[in-house]
Amino acid sequence: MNQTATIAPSVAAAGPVDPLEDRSELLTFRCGGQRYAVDIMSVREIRSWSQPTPLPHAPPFMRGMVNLRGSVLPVMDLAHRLGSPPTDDDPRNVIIVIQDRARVHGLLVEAVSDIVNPRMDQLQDVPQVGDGDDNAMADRLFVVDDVMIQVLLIARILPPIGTQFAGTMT
Amino acid sequence: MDPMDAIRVTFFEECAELLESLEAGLLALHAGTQDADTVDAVFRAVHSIKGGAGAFGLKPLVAFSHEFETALDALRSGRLAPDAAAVSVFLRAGDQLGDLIEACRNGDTPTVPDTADLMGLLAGTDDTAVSSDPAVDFAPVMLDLDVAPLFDDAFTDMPEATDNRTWIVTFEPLPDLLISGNEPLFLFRALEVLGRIEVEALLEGLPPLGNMDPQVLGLRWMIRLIPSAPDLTETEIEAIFEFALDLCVLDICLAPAPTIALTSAPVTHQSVTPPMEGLRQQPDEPGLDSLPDTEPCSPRPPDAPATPLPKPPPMTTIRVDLERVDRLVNLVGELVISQSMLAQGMIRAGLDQHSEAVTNLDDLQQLTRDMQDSVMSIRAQPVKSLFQRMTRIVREAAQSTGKDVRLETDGEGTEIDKTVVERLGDPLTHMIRNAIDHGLEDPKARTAAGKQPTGVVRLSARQQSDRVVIEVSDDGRGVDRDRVLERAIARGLVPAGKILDAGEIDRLLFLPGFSTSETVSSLSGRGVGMDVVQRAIRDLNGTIAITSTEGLGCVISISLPLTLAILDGMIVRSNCQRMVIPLSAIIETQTISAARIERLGSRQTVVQLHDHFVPMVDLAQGMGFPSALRSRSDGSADCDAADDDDNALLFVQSDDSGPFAIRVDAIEAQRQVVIKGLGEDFGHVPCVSAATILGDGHVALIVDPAGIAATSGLQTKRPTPALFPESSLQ
Amino acid sequence: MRVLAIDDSRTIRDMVRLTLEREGIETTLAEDGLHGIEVLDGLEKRPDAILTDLNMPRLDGFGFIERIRKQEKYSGIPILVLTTENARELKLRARAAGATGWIVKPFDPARLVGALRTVTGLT
Repeated sequence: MNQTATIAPSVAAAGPVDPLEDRSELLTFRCGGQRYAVDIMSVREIRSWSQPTPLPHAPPFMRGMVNLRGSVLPVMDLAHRLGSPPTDDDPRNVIIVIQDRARVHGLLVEAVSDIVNPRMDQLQDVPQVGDGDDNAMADRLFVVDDVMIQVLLIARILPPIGTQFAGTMT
Repeated sequence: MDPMDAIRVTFFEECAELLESLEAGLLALHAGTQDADTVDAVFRAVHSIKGGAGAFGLKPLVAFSHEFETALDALRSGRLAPDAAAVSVFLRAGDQLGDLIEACRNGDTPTVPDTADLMGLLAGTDDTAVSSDPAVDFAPVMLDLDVAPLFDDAFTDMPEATDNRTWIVTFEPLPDLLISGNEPLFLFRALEVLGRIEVEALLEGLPPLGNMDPQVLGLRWMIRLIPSAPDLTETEIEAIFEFALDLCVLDICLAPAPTIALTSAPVTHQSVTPPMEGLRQQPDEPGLDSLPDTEPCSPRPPDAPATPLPKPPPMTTIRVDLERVDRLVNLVGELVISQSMLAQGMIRAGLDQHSEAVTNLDDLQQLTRDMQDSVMSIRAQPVKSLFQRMTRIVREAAQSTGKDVRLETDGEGTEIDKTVVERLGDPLTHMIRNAIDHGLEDPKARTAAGKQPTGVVRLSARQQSDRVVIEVSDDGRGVDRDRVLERAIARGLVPAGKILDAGEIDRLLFLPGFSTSETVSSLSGRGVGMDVVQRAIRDLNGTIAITSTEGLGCVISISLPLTLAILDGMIVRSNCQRMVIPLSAIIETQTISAARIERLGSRQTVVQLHDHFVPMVDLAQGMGFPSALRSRSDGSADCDAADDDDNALLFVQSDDSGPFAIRVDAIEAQRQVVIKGLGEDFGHVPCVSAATILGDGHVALIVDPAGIAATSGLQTKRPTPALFPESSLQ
Repeated sequence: MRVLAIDDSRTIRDMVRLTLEREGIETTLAEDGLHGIEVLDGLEKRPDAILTDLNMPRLDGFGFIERIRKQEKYSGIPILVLTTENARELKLRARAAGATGWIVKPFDPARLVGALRTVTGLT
């Protein structure tokens, strides 16, 4: 059935980040054909795909809810949220369970790639390109093996608390 | 944040302010301002710090501030002069106090600073007796009557005395008791916590009625107390009278016990007297901390010897944080879900029904169900406190309407979930007020009708399988059906000339804004009618019904589930989605084939319910799910194209609109489901009240019919009269 | 049950309110004797009990109780004194002013609530 992997223990085992070198620890993943990353500290676990129960009158990027060990977890199609077309249903999809303070949310992505430790000086500011949605969500950029990875801020991805779900929302 | 943490923060903030005012005051004293207010302010600053510190158990802080306070008290009472030397000691102490507070705030356990200087200040005064240990409460010292050493080993062969010794309490209030706000009745009620009491007023020596002074209680009472716990001590009894000890003459003694035949060599034992025998209470010197002795009552003529009562187990309770209980309830709920998933998994894996694994799982499920019942019962509370609140409501209502009313209660011990008890308060209050205001007649009318002038309102509670039934009844005039119907027609709620049977007329009372009183009574208010009550009951997943008999009275019956965490629901399928509709919202169900469906204009469909037509909504559409059939990504068989024959209608009732029908592809099962609230993350989700996790592990929405009505634009607030065939033709 | 609680310490006021409201007891607060009288006069319905500290600025606990006991409209309201002192003299003085009973700080929440229930006969 569903397989889950809890991130935290393995990260701990990898040892503390060297304080002399200012580095961040990020989980990289692929969605909407692009590569992104989030702070590892906000990732609670990774679950394999399960069919979410749709929510009525929900914005199109909200896929619905899944059962997370007896609790109800909202799941968002991250690609769609970032302005790309909706992710296809594929059993190889992955749900990244993220936590921002007390809020726990699921992000539907295509695949999880790696854990990376870029130095602070490797992180570039996001250049202003018009006013596309994904610019607002990404905080920083960095490049690994010629691939550009956008670092997302969880707080900006999650819809504000108490948002009325009726109708569409940006 | 735990509320105590917030208060702790407040405390340290307050300490900072108090330290400031302490320093300011001391500096003022130093500068020569020596008025009483300044000194008092200085004293109070330290006093308040001590009080708060005690509340948080910061012992070193309490200890030091206590010494500081004592010295300041000497200053305050004039025994110590605020000279330069004294003030500088105080200033230094203030600094030390500040350091101590800082350390406590950081969570260290500092040592108490040396108080020699403070004590030195006191040495010169007469203040040698420091008040008693601040941690000691006034309550009389617990007498631990360890009687074991007094008995011989022979007593171990003694047949067990099974009687709970009866206590005799004689209580004579002194003149000032009432003025101090103590109330004998409440004291007796408090005694009832300890066991069963029989109260007898001793009337000898009462002055004649004309000479009685209402401010002075000339009564005495003798109370026989049959304790529910066999080890009840005299101190516990006395503790009840704690505040009144100096305002009454109290005598507590044991009723003489029946003689017990000893099988072994009788050993004479001394009458058990407490070690502090010297402290006999002198009636002419009421003291605040004196103790009567516990010799068996001899001067009074012994009543029939106390019959040995069966020993009920002593009741022990513990206080538990409600949050912890809720967490436990949640976990057990999840356990139940997990088990259903396991069971389903086993079936799908093809395990034989009779295999060991399945049998074991059945056992496990039974255990879990028992555990769930137990856990739910932790939150259960008797309705007694709720009913008792109503006595006051009855009193007030009787008074303001000028009627004579008596409240009877039954089944006070019936238990129901704590939140339900709390939320029943308002509805019950409304119902009782309505009963007294509209139901009961005034004494004259009652007598004319051949009834007792005092009307009776009856509150009863009983458990009926997995529900609790609460009834409010009165013996008044019943529902005035003619007037109700008249009103309903006048307001357009019912078409003129309509014939309704008694029950249907009674049910009209639940319609919004329905109130038959012409004059808005100050008591029931305007339109605060049964519709509000019904909504409240529905919110509790309960149902409510009225039964009225003309001239004899009215009974309102409420049926509530034992717990709020579990819902009785109907699992239905619509457009490949499984959803749950609360059973309490469903009026009835019907298969599509048996239904009479008509179209109203181009957009609306209606279906016949009894002799009305009500709107019909397709569930998936009503919820805003796209109509295309979704196929499951793993191709599982859960969603075959719906077999049209299975299509069904559920007629539901929501409070904001009249009844309407929900069309579903199929009704699957009736089940008890664990309610999972949708957290803040979901925002406000229309049409949904909560979610649950079904046996197959999938999340299912619990439908909110009122929401569907709203989003589907169902405007009807009243049942639409059945259309005659010709008017349906457009 | 409705209770008026008077104490000049914000910490104690917060704790009393937390303790009482947890038990479903409606609590109104005041910060000294004079404020207590103002608040009391302004209440729609008289409280079922009053809880008061002794040491307070402007008008202390004794003063408050004496004044209240002189007024017909507040007669019979149980008044519990909440205090850190355990001294006998203080109790006698409180009693003389007209106090119904006393609770020592730091108070045991169960004791406070139990005492309130006993003296008011309410839950």
